[in-house]
Amino acid sequence: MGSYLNVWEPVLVNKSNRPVLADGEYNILIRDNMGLYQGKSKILGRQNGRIYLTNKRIIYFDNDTNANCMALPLSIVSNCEIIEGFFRSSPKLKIHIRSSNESNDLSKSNSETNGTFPSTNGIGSKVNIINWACKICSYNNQISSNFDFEENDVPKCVSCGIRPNKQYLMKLLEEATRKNSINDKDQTIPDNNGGDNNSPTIVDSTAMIIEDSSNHQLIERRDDQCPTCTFINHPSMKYCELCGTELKTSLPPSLQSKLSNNVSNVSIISKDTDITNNPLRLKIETSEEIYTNNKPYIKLSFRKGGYLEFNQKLIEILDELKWDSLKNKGVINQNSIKQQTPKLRKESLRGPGIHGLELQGEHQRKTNEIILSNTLDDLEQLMFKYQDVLKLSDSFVRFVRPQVNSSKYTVSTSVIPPLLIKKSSTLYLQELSRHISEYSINFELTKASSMITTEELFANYNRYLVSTQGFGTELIEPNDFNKSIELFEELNLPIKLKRYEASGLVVISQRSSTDSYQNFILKCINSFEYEFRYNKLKNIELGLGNDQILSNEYNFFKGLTISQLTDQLEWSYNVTVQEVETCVNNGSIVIDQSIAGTFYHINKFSSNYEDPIDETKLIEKIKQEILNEQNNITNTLKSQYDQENSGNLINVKPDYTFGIGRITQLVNQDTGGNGSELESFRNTPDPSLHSQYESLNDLQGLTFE
Amino acid sequence: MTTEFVFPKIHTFPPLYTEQPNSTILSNQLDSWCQIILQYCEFYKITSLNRNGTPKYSQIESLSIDSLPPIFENKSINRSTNDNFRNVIIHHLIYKLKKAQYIDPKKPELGIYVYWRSLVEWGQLLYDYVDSTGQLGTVLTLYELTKSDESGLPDSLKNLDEGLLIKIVKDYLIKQGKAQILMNEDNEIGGVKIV
Repeated sequence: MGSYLNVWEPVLVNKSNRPVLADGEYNILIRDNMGLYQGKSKILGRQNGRIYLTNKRIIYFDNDTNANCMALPLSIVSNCEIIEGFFRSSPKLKIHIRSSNESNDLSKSNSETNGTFPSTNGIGSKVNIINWACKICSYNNQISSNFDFEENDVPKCVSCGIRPNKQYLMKLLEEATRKNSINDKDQTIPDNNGGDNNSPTIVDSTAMIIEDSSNHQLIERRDDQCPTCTFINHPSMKYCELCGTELKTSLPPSLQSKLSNNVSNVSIISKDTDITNNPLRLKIETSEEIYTNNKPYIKLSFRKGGYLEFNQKLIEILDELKWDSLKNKGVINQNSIKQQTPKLRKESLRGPGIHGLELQGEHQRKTNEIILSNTLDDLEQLMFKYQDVLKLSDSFVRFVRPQVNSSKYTVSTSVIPPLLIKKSSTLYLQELSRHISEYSINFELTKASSMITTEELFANYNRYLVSTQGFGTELIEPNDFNKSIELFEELNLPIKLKRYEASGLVVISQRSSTDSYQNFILKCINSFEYEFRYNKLKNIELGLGNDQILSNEYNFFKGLTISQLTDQLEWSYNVTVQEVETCVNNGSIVIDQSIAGTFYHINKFSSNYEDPIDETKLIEKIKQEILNEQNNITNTLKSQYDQENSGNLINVKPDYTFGIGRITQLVNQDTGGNGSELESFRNTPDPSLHSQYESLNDLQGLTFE
Repeated sequence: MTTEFVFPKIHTFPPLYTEQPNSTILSNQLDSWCQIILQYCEFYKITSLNRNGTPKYSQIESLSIDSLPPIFENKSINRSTNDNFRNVIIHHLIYKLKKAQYIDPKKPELGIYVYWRSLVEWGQLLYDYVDSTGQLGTVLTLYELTKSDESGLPDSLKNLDEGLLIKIVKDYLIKQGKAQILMNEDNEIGGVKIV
């Protein structure tokens, strides 16, 4: 018996202690106070957690340590059954897992559903997938061997969309069927050998067929030869090393399963080191996994009840999954005819006596019944219409949403999965709390310093719900909101409530930053002061110290007003007022009140205050920067000049000096000595102008008499 | 006196002119203010101030008291303290730091003496001067002790406010038993005898 601890997958967890869901995955049910069993024994460290049932996985979320979270994909679950509680043992849900062979087969069949039509027509006829290479683009297309050329068109190439020659396809099909009939005889032998306990017990017919067909194709070739490119691979390879085609091992399935069993047996011995068998390093109570009937299963223990609904939902999902896989194979609704409802014929009921009256009464009841059922049908129709309307409204969401926010939210919709949990659930508030935390961390509390009042968050959160989930969403009620934000502390979420005693204001902020608001204010003021002094010194350095306007502007550092701080820190005004007040009260900042208003400064009164800005260093720095700036300006001017003049034949000379140069030029012109001027061009070192010299060079040899 | 007093940097710090709500900061702020006042007075040798902070008497004769830069106002940053805060500062200077005293406690509007040099130090200076010139036991007029040019009066004592001089003698030297005051017939102080 192999180890089945490898069925568990790791789960990504977000900051707000919710699992990160995959695309198209959504929560269906959540249960708290759950424990996990592998077979008959408890899995250690997984005895107190929440179980999220999604449409793809069963996610165990540990309440104590996030690292202990894990998930079971539903694709490998075969079915489930309830074990009722007995005295002190809580009710459990037993979830059977497909043994590894089965699950592999299933996934394989899912991936290759493309051209497979399982044997619904008759048990004897076997269907294979045959590869055909497109003659245009050489893409390997697939076609099933029972393809009917008379009913269907010749299929197009999936890659380039060009139809192949019909004869070519038919020939391929013929060849394939011939091979099939030969191999059919051999086929029975390995299957029988496949034997008692190792051969899969409940196997889809499709899966079997594909495995069969793989065996047929391979018997022709060498065992380890790639069917596509004929490269001879190592026998243990699963995919061709050259072209990536899947290889079909020639080993009979019994041998294969034995091989894999051997591997897993070995791994049980060296349990700690084996990663493939137990990737999450789970430890269970007993030293080995024990299963009744030697079938792998896990158990969910419902410490606080609620197992009936869970079971029901799980079965629903499993059915849905099976139905989906059937649908994917395309076996549903084949050749189905819509049933016509028989028309009701009106009877005229008229008879004498009591019998007639009874008949009339009965008739009346019948019509009533029909009317009632019709109305119910209509109601149902209405509900469907309602859902259609919802979908429609969802499609308009992007128009409704304000333009400014659109960029903010479009990124987001995929980030936070919507909250799908019923209000009646006991976990509703907790989940809501987590969801709010997730939202606020992603959108509202983006900076370490940011915080938001509860009122604002409430409004924004509801707006967000509408804009991402359409108008059909239920908005959060203030009561629920208030209760759920109280839970931040209890759930150990990364955000935190903060109350201001003076005004009764409640704000939400990131937990990490709550103690250092004062620092944000101080930093902000300091940076402004630094900037101010920097500019002032720079002006002085630039010789603008005497400028009337500038010297007025940079006379002294005026400090910051509340509104400036609000702007800088992205807090709401109320919050800033509160925070500044606390800062003033604890003495870190001081007030300057004048006619112009109230300004806030860093406290420089205390005797141990040291100026953080070293002016001499600052001056050095400014001098350097001014130098660099001026260098830059000169360089850009120069390059601009060069650029402009490179296209101009007259001005080719970049280091042209008026004065002497001009005189010599004039002299040369007087004497008709055009050649010497060109000579001087040739001495200019600028290579970008070289081509022009070349063109002028033709004239160089000319002499003028 | 051509050079002007250079105010410390904090004098251009706008919050200095607002009474701070936080008590610790306020006391720091008042300390800063008193520091400024003392430095200012020492620089200009001002021994007494009016209640509104303008200088009342300076030892330096050539100094025109009215043209001195005001303490409680900074025109360059357009800030000045209000009267109330000035009183707080002076109160702090008198009762907390004990570096000043009302000229007449019954009439605070007369102004204050500012003790950038304490009464003890003043008394010591006076005593040393009398001692070094061998005039112990002789009666000296107030004029001789302040304005006299011939007797080699040290600069620090020259042109000292008479009121302050009397205060020094009364409050320090007499209590030490080192001086006596002689009244003239008009019941005014005629002379001082230091022994």
